[in-house]
Amino acid sequence: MLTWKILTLCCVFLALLWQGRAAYSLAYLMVVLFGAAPLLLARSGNRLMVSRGSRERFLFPGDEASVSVALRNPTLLPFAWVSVQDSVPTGLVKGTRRARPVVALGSRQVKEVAFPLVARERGVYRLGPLRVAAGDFFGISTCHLQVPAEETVVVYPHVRPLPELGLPSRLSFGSLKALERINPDPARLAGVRGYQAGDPLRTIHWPATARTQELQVKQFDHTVTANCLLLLDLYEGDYPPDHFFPSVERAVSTAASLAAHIIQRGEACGLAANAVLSEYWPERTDIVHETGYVQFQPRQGTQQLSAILLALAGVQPQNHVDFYSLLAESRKQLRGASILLWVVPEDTPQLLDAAAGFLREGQRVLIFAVERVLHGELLAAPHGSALQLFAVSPGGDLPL
Amino acid sequence: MNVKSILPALAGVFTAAIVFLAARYASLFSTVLFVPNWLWAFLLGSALESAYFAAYFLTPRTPFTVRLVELALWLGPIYLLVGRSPSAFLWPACLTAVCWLLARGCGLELSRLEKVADLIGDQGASTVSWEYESLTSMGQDELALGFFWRRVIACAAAVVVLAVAAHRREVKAAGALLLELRLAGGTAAASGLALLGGAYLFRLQTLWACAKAAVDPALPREWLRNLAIIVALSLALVYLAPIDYSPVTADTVGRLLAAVLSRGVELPELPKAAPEERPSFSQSGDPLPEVDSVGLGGIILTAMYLLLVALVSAVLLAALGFILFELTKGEIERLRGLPRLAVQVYAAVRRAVLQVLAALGRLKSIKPIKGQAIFPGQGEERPSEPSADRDSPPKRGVRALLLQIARQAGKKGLVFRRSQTPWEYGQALRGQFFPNEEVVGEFFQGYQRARYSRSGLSGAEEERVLAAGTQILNRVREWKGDEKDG
Repeated sequence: MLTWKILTLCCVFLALLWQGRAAYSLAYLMVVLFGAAPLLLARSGNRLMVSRGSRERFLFPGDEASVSVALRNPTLLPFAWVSVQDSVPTGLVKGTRRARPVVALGSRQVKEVAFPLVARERGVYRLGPLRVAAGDFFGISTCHLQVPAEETVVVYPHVRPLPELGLPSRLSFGSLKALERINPDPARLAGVRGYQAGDPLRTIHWPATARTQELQVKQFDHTVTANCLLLLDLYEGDYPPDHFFPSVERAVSTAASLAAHIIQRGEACGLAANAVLSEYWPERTDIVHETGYVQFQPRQGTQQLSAILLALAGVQPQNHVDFYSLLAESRKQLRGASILLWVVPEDTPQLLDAAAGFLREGQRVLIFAVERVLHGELLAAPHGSALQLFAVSPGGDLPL
Repeated sequence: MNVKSILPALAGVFTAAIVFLAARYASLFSTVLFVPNWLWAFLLGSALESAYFAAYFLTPRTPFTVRLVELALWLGPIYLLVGRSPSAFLWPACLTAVCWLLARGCGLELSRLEKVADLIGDQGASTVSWEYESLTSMGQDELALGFFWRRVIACAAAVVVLAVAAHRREVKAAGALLLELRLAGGTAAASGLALLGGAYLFRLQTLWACAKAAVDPALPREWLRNLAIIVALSLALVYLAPIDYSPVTADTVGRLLAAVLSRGVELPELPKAAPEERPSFSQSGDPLPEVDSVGLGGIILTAMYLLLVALVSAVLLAALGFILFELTKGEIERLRGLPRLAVQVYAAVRRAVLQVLAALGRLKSIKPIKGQAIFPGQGEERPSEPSADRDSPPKRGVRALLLQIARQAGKKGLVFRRSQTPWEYGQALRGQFFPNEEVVGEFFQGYQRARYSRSGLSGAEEERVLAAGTQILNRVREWKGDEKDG
């Protein structure tokens, strides 16, 4: 460009000396094209407004989405072309290449470009920064911007029905029938009977009353809520190196599926894991996240499920806190839970020893081995046993 | 939008306008350089032809003979029009040849821009950073369209030099000539800027295709619209901007320098000669000194002179021979490709004509505004026309009937595959719909004769084949999936 700018100066100098419309016209055009236009383009480029449609996006594996980026030119100078390139992680790129949309942006015009995404793997991803390039109509100058507009994309783990994981579809967790009939559970209708003096009016079953022409009241099952706590082992040393990532993903998917199963049944579920969260984790206040531990108090409701799935989307294995340290760290939570669901790679003897301690305290321990089963005899334990072992094997049996 | 199709036109107009301006300014200096008005048509025509031919057809294997013939086609009529006078022919021929060559360069550059994928080489499309490549493909100080910029600036500078020379010699252009000059100047500026902008768009489109960028389909249209606005503003600047306001001009600088020099340098006073001592040649004519007779030295000098002339002549002849040899060496080989070139030109012209006709057809088929009568004189009461029923019986012969049958059969699941010949498709049709009937064979035999035979079908034969085809068509239409043999 320096040569052309020098040439422009020469033209201006000669036009001033020689006079005449032709010389002045050439000088004017050169000044506009090589002097003013690049400056204007640079100034307009700096004022170009680039914004994302959203800050966070949540997807399940296999979902397709489109990230939109709005471009606004607040100036009078039109851009011949504007190219936008988003930093899309490989795990989200649709097709074989990253999209590179190019648009023309007129003066005071707003346009939207879209980047297609496909959620392939669980994770918390960060899109951005955006790299924007804009150019003039004659190939003289281009301005490049880097816009720090970022967007977090959370891809939840696979949530599968339990039979797909090789687990019995009628696993019973959470609320248990109480031996002492003290607390009727209004969510569990057991039948109707005739009204007796002292029955609360809110329990009257009006349709049955209308049908029988006598007051009928609802009868409920009496339950006690047994909180469930999922403990997910993500200590790197516990997983075989030869198929480390599939095993880890299977463990996370199993934990997510169990959490969904429990919470969708109306029970309370918590989570504790010896894991680190993704560096792009969106800041949340409802999660206890200290170095190497992720802990959720048992709660009910879809909000709890959403929080657990979000945590499971971002957990990563680590190598400095083992599962026994997690058990020790989570002792306070463990005391409040009646049923412990341990998702581990294999049922080692040390693990069974640790489970025995919890059994002595009256808690149930269900172990879900995702990699290998060492104590096959436990697989045949009767339903309702305090200690049960399950082999998680999507698509085949685990090696015994 | 195919930008390339309009770029040679812009290059041709720009070149013709520049040559026109240069010739007009040159004619202000000398009447010998005056050119007749009809020459402008030749300038424009030769520039357009040269630019289009170079952009679309010219390759390194194009015979030189073709180029010479091409140029001769323009120069020949000029020679006739100037009255077969070589002296009158020289200047117009020179202008036409320059115009033709300048336009050719632009056309060749457009052709080269299209081959940018070859220049990029084996880079994967994902690694092509076209934003960078478009600007700095040839070096940091080089524009993306260095050739066009140099060409446009050099042409403009040449015209400016001529204009300034005319201005400084106080050769005034007035009246119609001034109007011509301004129009030509505006045309040159507008077409030059449009050429630069369009060529950059063309280059970017090529790179975008190479990098597989997702380009907004509306971009070329918006680009050209904005470019038109920029060109209009530039023309306004050229015509309306103030000029000649500089207090320091070449004249003032010259006078200043002369004054400084005259004060600073005191020249020695020359002795004044008496008027009677003015030198004069004697009219009587003194006798010249006698030359000695030519001796041996003279002979040697003469011989050396002759030898030198012979050597120079030999070198020139050798150079000429070398050039002729080099030109004709590959020429015979290139001439073999002449028929192919002719076919290419024919195909391109045919394609262009078809595109124009299609565009006209589209214009014609634009639906009228609601409420406006389609048929004049009929107002709102349009006669009921038969709807465009794709299933109606064919009216365009056997080949159209086969298309109808294939379309209907495709709906029933028997698709006419690209890998099938019509006869194979007929066999499949027979197996599916007409297991025991000869009507299919009759139709497809007739089709083959209509399609491939030189003689074709006679009237009666065609009617028979059409009847068979219509029968097949009706049968296929009525066919339900469960009545395989029905």
